[in-house]
Amino acid sequence: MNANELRQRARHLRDLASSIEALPVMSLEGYAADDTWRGPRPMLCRSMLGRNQQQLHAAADDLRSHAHLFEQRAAGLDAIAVASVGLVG
Amino acid sequence: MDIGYDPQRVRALSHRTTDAINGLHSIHSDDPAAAAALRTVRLTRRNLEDHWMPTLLRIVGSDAMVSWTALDRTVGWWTAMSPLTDDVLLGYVTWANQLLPDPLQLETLGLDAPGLDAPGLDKLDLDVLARELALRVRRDPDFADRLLGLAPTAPIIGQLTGRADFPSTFLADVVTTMMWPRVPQTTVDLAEYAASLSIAMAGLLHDPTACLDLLLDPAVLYGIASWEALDADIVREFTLAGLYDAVAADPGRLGDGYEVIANLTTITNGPHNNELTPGLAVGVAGSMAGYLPTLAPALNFEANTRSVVIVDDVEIDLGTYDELVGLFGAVLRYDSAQTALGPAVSEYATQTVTDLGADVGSLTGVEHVADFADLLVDATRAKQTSLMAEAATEEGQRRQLAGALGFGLSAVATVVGGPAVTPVVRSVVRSVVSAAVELGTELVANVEPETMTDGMFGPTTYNLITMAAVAVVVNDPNVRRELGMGSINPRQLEEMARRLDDIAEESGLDDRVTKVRKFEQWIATEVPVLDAHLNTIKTMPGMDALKEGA
Repeated sequence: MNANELRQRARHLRDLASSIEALPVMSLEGYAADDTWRGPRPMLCRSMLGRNQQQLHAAADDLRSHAHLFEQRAAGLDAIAVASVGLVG
Repeated sequence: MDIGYDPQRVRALSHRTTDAINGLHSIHSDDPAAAAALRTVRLTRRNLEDHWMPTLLRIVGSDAMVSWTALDRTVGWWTAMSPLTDDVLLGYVTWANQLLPDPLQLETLGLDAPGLDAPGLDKLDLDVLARELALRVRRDPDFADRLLGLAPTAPIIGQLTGRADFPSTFLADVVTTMMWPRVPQTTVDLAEYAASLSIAMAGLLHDPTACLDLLLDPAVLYGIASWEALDADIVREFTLAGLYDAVAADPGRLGDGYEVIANLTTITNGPHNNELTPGLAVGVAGSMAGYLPTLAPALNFEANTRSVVIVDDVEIDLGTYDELVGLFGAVLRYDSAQTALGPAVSEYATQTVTDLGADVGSLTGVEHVADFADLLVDATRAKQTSLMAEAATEEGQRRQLAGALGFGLSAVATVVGGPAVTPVVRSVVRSVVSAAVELGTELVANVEPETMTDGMFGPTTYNLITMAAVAVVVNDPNVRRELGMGSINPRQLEEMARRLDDIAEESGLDDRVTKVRKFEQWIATEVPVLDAHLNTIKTMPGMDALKEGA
């Protein structure tokens, strides 16, 4: 895989992370507060939603980490290529 | 813990939940590095579908929400059903069944609905649910089977069939499943169950063939015959569709129709002694227009000999004469059934006389009309019917089969010389059956209590036959020519037509008899050749018995 392909994947993963963080589910708790519903079940729902939102944030962070790694590898490949050119030159 | 809900906000939350699920569905990636993130996305979506939304539904349907009065009509979470798994969707059906409010049942039945602001479900929600179920039933037989399996315990399924386009095969399965004697389960409200089953039956009215197929099922027929909680109007239309419309559309199914009648004979003379539900009774009565031409000649009056009708070379045993008396006795218990049978009998009499034309006094045919009239006379004398007649007398009114015959007589001029009989018969039957429900009281004459119903039907049929014969002469110049009645002048024809119309429009039984008598006297004086013709008809077999009231 060349540097351009790695950077393309990195952009895709960053876009995907942004899409996940922009999902309506990430702001759903704003419509599910105590002024909407109160009780054990709403509390359970909010708790579950909160865990899922944390997991989604973590997933987005993980995607960005992968993107960063891809970008690093791309940079490494670029450096190798430059070095190769220098050696050749 | 404090519990509370804001209806408007909960509704808004349902919209946002729908958006959230749709948004999670939109996330895609082919990159292997995104696999873990996609699993999290799916997990979140399933949590919303499997836990969040059902919890919302439960809350909305809980007692805490009963005070809701201002639900808007916007689309709720039901719009998000298409992405749901079959398991979740079937789970909603079960929950929705528990939440179904009474006003919604009324509305579903087309009755006066106080409003759709009942807690938990509104019309729009149910429409969306029904459409999604219908879609999956059409494309997935396994899903159809699973939904069908819920029908005995979830009456909402029957109601939902009235809100979307379910295939006839599925509706027939719902009817069969729910009608089976071992259901409904004891935990189900029987009235709600019957209403639901009635709606499923109504969904089949556009498919008379399916109705007839179901009537052929002894368990279904017994259920319809015995379960009075079923909607009488729907049962009536269902029976007419199966017994009449299906056979009219495909005469090859006449034998199947007779099989149904034979089974009804067994039911009324056996497990459900002399009783039928009113809707079925009216449906059977109205359907007789399609059977009398073959049923009447098949009647056998000998006690130990069975009446057998032959259709397409197949013999169908209708039972003994006494058993047929039992069947029609059960039918004639209801005044609306009498009203529906009236035009069928009169049309048969009219058509028989019309078909015989100039030969009415010499060929067989009229005696078959007389035979069937005799059967009805005997049926109205059946013990159960007499008991009911006595009860009616106590109420100050008497239902009269004879009175209903006026409807058929009014069709004489239309039938005679008409290019096609069947459409006329159909329209007459349909209109009269409907009128029996909506305007039935107009057909109920107040008579003296000592005047027995069974004493009037014979003479009325007798008059019907003779007046039909006169109508044939008036309306058909070919018959006049064959009978040598060319001397009847236009003025006489006009006067006879006027008197026939007058008789047809007369709803009072006694007044009609008087008008017929005066007309016959007029004929004897003014048109002797026609009088001679009528005298010939009156000597046909069975006519004397009819005149005397059998």
